[in-house]
Amino acid sequence: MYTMLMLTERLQILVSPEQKQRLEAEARARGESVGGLVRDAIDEQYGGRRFTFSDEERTAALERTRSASTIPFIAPDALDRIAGREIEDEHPELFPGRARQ
Amino acid sequence: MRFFLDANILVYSRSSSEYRDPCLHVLAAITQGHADGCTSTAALEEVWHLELTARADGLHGLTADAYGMLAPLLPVTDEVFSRALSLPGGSLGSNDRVHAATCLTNGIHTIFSADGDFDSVENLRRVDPLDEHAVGELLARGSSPE
Repeated sequence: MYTMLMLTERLQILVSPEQKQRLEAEARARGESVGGLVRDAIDEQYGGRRFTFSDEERTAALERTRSASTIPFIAPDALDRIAGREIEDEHPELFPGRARQ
Repeated sequence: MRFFLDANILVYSRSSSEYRDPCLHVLAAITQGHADGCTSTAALEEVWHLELTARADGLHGLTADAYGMLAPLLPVTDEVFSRALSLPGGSLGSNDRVHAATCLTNGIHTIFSADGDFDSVENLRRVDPLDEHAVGELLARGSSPE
């Protein structure tokens, strides 16, 4: 599922009858449009963002984040120290230069 | 233009502070396909650690939702780790070195972070959430290539 939904650019290309038949058959098999198949191929071949989750799932995750409970502000340097905090508390001798928060 | 989301951006999206709105704004732009932000396994592990140690379930679900918005994550590979080790000294901690190296290894030269320590990293530009002009520029460039 793609998030690049701003399909504003038109691209016209010529293909052989056989290529067109293959595209149409593949599109039918996947239940997609030929245009979607070509967009897939462009992204797979030449890069592009492919998310793990669908647009709906990502939007739901965003909405949960928006409406969820919050915590007080923790300064960036304090966040950096959190990972080592338990060790600092148990072994302050290893961190003589660090002031306890 | 692709940019990297530091762990603090995800935490501040659930923080009662002036950082919350700009962080949510950028996450919304990514989710809607108007911005090309990404993060890594290491950054999300930092968030998860905080979520699991925070009291009163204040951050419950944050890591899963961030993963839901941003997956797939950039990996911390042998190449990333080697580059992190070779970054010049300074005030950057080990996690931040890994994030900086993840950016540079993946050709990403912009990090969205409230942590000024990244300002010392060569070839990496930091965009602070409170810098309205820089955030506007970041979003104006959308998901087009750098």
